[in-house]
Amino acid sequence: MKIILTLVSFLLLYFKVSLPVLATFNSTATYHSLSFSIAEQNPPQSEIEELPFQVTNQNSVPITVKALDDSGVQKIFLYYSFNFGPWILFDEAQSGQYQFNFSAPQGDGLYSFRSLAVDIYNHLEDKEEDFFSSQLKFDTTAPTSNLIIFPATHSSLSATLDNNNPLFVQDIFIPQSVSAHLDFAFRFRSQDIAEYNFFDVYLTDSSGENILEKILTYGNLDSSNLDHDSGWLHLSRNLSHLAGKFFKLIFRLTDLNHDSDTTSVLEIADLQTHLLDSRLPLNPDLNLLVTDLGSEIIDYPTLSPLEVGENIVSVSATDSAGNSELPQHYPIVVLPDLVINRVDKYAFTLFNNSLTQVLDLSNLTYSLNNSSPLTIDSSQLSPLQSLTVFFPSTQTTANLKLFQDDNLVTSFQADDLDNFYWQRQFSGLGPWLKIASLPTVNLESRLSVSKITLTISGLATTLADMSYTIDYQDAAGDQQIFGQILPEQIDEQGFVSRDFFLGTCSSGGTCVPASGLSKKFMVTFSNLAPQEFNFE
Amino acid sequence: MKKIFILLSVLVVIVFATKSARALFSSQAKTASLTFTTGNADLQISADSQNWSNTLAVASNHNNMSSGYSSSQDFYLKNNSLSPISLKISVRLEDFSPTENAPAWPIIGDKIHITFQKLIGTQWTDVATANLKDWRDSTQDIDTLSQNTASQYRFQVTLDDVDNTHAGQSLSNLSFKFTGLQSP
Repeated sequence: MKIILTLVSFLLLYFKVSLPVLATFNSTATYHSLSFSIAEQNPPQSEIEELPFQVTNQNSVPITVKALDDSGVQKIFLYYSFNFGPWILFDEAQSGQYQFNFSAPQGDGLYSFRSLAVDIYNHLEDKEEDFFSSQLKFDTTAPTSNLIIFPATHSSLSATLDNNNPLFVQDIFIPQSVSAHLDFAFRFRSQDIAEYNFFDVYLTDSSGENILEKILTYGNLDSSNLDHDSGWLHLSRNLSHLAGKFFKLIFRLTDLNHDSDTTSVLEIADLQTHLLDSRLPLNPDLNLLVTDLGSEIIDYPTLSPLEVGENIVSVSATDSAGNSELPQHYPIVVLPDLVINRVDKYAFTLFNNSLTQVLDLSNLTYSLNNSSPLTIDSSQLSPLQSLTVFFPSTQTTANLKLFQDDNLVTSFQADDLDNFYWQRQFSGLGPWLKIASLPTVNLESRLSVSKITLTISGLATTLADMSYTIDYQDAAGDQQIFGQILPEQIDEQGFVSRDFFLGTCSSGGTCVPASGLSKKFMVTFSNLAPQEFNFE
Repeated sequence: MKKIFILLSVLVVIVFATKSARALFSSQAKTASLTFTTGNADLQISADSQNWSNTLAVASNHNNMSSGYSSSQDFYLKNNSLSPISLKISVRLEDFSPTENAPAWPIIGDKIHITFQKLIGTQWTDVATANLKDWRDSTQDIDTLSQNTASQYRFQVTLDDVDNTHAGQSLSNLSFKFTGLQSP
């Protein structure tokens, strides 16, 4: 054997050849223990438990979802739609009772709910979109009731604000002795959250600089929905506390992301200011405007018939969410169409309170201090006009009674007519005021600065003659100051004061005192006797 | 003795006949001692490129799959051959429980798809894809590895749309067998 191997080696070396290969080398590696299986493919099913109410005035409500699956439920998603808008994920629950504490992320409004379950194999529930099977209206705002008597002060206004036109200003004046309220509807569309994009509604003084009160700040509160549309909402605010004032109503749109592509639009509609005059004629056309932002009104206030005299009208409404309006009390004085307006020792005045009716006076008589009926010469009286009826003789007291076809219409008793006269605070209406019949006139001298001050007290606003003259002398001869006391210059106490400079003033504002002023001044006011003031 | 001579004669004929043939792998022969050194091929697999072996158990199985299921596991293959040879790597699925799996193969065998990917640079590139049934019935080449080189691969499982006709079916005790064949 050894000889054979030696021979083979010799042959191999001699011919310098390699050993031939008859098969290639190979090796294996295995990736083992693999298994595959298919799970059951039935999707889970979920259902929102029936809500115990359809409308709520709570800020949040619990929502419970039931779910079933052949293998097991992994989690449940709760979606909501605000006012039939897109479905938005509110939250997900992974175990337990699948209960959500829904907090109305977009504020008051109608919410639809939809649940979708996922099983442990990630099968998502397949369910039709249904806005109506589970709905809940959130309404946390009480309704507002407002009395409406007169038409709106102006026709309904509307405006549209955007980034290029972010401001809307409306001047408003509310007369004295009336109450008023503001109404408007708005729709706000925004593609940003309230932190960057919102609008304000507020009242300022007449300068527009000083805010009297804020009415509303509104923006999109839901950061998960950047396509906000508030829908049309309606708002009312009582403005009675601003009676007699001039002010501005301002809508201001604010966009802090000027550089972004997002836009916002505020639409304003039906902007009106309603006035309510608390002095009403008989049978006023009195209406109630009851509004609610979120839900329907289920308990409307009712108006009791108004009677002649003072009335307190209380109104309060309740909406279906259970929000009750705090009662509002409106003091209203209802007077007959024809009233006694002013009484002095010579005459009394009749006033037609009606806004539209011409009153027939043909069957009107009056008695004076229980006298037999006396006739009135005029046959009719136009709306909001006065008629002076002179007494047969001068009176010191006057117990007046007005009769229409022998029926007592109104009466008034005035006394001390030698020194006073009586009149209502406002033309035709309002409480009676006893006013000194002879106003007091005074003149104060500050001749060192060439000024004098005229004061008149005990003034009524309806004196027929409100003119005054001040006569004096200077180096140039006789001089006279003439003027009128205007009603708006008289304060509530019947007092008025006017300053006068005695000299000449150029158009440039330079004033030169008069020289050679006399010390005596003669003042004449109305039909009163002239009074002399001597400053020697 | 006669047989020895016959064998020797055959050997001599072969040597002469293949004088010009080249060896497909290198080997060395030392004439001084008249000893022969032969090579080997060694394909190894690893989950982490640290611990190498000829077998690797799956990290996790693919049970209770549903439509859209997708899962993957990374692994490494290395040509650990002693000889300076390249290995051409092919893959095939082996079923070690054919009896138990027989009912499921026609139902879900073509629903489960296996893709092998190779990491080239920073990109994963598909190198072979087929459904499970095809992997069982045919072999696919996925790569060639030089001696002492390793590459990272990804084993990716996806599932077609399935319904309840496929539910409850399972295939188990399967192995992917990687064969490294000496490459010329």
